[in-house]
Amino acid sequence: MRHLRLGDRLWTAAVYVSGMLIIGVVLAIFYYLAGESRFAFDRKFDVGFRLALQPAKGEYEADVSLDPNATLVTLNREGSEGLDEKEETLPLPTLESLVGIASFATGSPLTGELDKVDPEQLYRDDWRPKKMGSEETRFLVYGFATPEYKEPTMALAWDKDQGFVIEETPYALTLELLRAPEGVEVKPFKVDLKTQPKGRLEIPTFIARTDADRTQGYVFELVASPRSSHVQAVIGGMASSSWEPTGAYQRYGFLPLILATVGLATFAILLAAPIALGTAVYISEMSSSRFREWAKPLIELLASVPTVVLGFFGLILVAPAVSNTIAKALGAESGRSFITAGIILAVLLIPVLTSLIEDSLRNVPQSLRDGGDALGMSKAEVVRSIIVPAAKSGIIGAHVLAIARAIGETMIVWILSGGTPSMPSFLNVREALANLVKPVKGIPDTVAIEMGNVDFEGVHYGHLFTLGLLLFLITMALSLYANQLMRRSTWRR
Amino acid sequence: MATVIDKAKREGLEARDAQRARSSRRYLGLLTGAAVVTFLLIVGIIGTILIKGLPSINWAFLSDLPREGMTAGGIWPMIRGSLLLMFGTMLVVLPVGVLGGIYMAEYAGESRFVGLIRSSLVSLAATPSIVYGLFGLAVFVLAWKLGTSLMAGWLTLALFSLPVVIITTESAIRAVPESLVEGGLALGLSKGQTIRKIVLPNAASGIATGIVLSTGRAAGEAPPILLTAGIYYSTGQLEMNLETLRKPVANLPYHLAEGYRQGGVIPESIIWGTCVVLMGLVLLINLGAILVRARSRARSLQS
Amino acid sequence: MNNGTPLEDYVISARNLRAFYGNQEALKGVGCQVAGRRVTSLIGPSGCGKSTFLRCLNRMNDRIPGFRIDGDLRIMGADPYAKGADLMKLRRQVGMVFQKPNPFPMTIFENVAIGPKLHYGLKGSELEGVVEEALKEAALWGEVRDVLTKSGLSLSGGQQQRLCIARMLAVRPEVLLMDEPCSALDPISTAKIEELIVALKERHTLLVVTHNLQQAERISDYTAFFMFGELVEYGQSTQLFGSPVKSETQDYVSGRFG
Repeated sequence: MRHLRLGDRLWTAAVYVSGMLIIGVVLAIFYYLAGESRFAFDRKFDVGFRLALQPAKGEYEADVSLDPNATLVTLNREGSEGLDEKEETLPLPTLESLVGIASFATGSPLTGELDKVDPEQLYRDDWRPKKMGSEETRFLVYGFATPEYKEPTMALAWDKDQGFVIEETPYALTLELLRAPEGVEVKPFKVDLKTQPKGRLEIPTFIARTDADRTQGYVFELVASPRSSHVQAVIGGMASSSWEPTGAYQRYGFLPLILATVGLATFAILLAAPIALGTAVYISEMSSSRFREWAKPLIELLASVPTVVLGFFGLILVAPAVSNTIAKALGAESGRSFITAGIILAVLLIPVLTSLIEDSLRNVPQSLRDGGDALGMSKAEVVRSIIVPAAKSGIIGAHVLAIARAIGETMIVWILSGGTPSMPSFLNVREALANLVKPVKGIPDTVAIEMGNVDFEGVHYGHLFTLGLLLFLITMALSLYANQLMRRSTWRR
Repeated sequence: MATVIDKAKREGLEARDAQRARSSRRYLGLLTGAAVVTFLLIVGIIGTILIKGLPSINWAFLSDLPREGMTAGGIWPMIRGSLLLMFGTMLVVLPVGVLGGIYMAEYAGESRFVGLIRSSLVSLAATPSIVYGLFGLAVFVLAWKLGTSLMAGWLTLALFSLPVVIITTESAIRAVPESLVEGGLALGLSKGQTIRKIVLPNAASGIATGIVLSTGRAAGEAPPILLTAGIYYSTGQLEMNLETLRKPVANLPYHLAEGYRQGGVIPESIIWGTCVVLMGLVLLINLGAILVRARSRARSLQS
Repeated sequence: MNNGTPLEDYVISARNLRAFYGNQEALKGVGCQVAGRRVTSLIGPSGCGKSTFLRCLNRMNDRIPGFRIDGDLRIMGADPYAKGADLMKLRRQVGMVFQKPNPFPMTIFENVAIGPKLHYGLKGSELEGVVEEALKEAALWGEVRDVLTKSGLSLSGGQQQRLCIARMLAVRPEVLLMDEPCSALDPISTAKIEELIVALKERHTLLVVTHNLQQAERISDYTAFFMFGELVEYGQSTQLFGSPVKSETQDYVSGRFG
């Protein structure tokens, strides 16, 4: 007897633990997704400006390589591994080797005396990746000409780097002449790079002079002072409109992904809803019970085809059809696009939606159908003005749940959407239509594809987890709302 | 006021009746059209996949290893991997899922806290599989240092199928007639004993259906496996030792998703064949479960 | 009592009416004539066919798979089951109220308005007038005149049933069928509905299925006693309850004392 009681106690404990586990799983998912998102906040931001001393006469060249022997030397930008490798293969210049004009840059706040900066040393140190944290960061540009340069003036030119979006940087950027060489008369200046991202300023030529402990030249200063806190900056980055995690300038804007996912879900539900609603009403209100016995499982069968199989179905059969028709008409090349993914998503949603709507229609008590019949209403009138309105909240709930399903669907979008993040454009009708055949990339497929190529616990990894968290919260909110709606429609009679 | 209706009755009542009948017919016609579209879609899609894929299915395709960079040979290692994932998932989810379902049906009752559990269950059931994949990656693969492995895949897929297993178990238990439970209690059995000896055996087929259905669905779901357990193809033999649990496993969905994505390289017959095998695996499981459910529903209606 | 309609002017007449659910015969050759502007009660034990008979009159059995009918049935001279018979028209003439109040999940106003709107295409003030009149006839107007936009489901059970009666009246049917209209209601609501039934016979022909023999005696001019699918006895209520001809009727109506 005692033994039995112990067994019972263990049993009860196991049952309760399993019940509690459900909340535990939700909390754990939230905890870990949020936790891994912290790596997104290791993000360092780019400054992305090129400064150069160059001949006063002649055209300014916008595209200048990183060759240190060239007349333009780009200011460093932090965090780029590619540049580091490149640097190792380049010979370090010496003063003697320089011809024309040279400028040198540093990316960290200089310590020690400004006057005693060794340009060569400066160069060597400062192509390293810099962490740009929350403090104000100063970049010093040290500039002079070599004796071969004979003109009385030279120019300081600055330009935003290609791909660098000044609106999205969390810094206020200014360029200032900090110190002129001894004996040179020059007007002090300070430029706000945000309002003037490209420019040129003439200054008197100064020929480099070095002696034992001192190098002479202009010292320009590029100040990057935070406009917002680092956390705000990272979140601001997420709110921006470009997702290029592997480009020269990493950008982690969620907007194109969110718009693609929401757009695809909307498109699919608009396509699926009328068909699903019609089918559900047909099965629930018009067909014999014998037909219903067959139809329901058949519909559930389509709902359970693995989505990766649906994806390939779309890739081999639907994508070429789209590419030959709509895509061609709108000037796109590939059938892998928004519309193809949207169509196959709708195919997935139709059975899901039909099944859910049918359930809520069947929940409407028979007595209402009788009441409508007895009033002399036709079948269609009973359905349209009594049954469907009576099941309204359940039907809406079904749609909300289907939207959640579409938002979380990964494989169909992965295989069919073309995998290129893009922002929709609504400038004119033609462009708005062209959005349909654009390749897009949604949230879940981005996570699935890119997670395979990231450094674990890196910035990109962190952002992918943030996307996952976003997905979790969105689907959670939708499913809870849908559940509430569907419960409201349950007739207690 | 009755005169209003008398007037209306005199004036064009029949025309209005005819008009109503016409618009009703139109409406019903639209509904029928929608239903036809849906059933054409179902038959069309499943039929096309079968027609395209069945010819590639033969014993060699099912039992051989892939050769020449997946452009020839069979897909046995992937089938094996998917089955391995499915059965392991079943083993992991079984105890927790069934106990959780018993809790919801018999112990939970109604309180604010239980409402919270229900909300959690609802959210989990609607959580996309890729989110489970991320969770599995962060917890099982990285934090628990299981690596990309069969073990991590089992745990992730088990979590993914857990909410559905709990929900179906709960409804299977609720379907057991109250009189049986009262009979058990009247015999002097404790609540736990009643549930184990009377309720569970009676709910067993419903519970089993739920487990098979949800793990079957899990086995066809690519994203969780992608992040926690997958390699997209393998030509190796299965080694029957504990090390296998720590190794990644090739499987059908990932094989399809990643291996065949580069268009033009893999012969279409192999792609369709693999589609049929994966779909067949999941659909057969589903069909079985649906039939079992339909039969038990019919039985419960009779009694 | 007997003013107005002459006895020969029957609203409903059935001859050898047989009804089947699949193989099961629910009505075994029922014949009767129902006079206009009277209340007729249908009584009998459960499963005796009284509800089936009632539901034949407005073809509410049509939805049930396997149901079919045989024999002769006339409602105001027309055969409702004739080929090409118009269901809309039939149900405009023959309204029905059910055992459980079943207001539609819409506002009180819409519940009553939906019938005249669909059938007669009424709109605006005409529609409002018809709704008001129907609610007055159903003795509900005073209680709901200020809450017409509230859901019909927000009313009490008895009010819901009167709303359903108003909904039926708004279509102006000649014949009113009531299938145990009070069985789900409390005594006070029941009394109100009974009063209403008696008042309604001034303009309508009413058939009321009831389990409550006292109620049948109280409200009806005629009573039909069904048993095992047959119409055992049919006649004036005073006579049927006072001195029934058949012994089955005697046993049944006296059962109320035992």
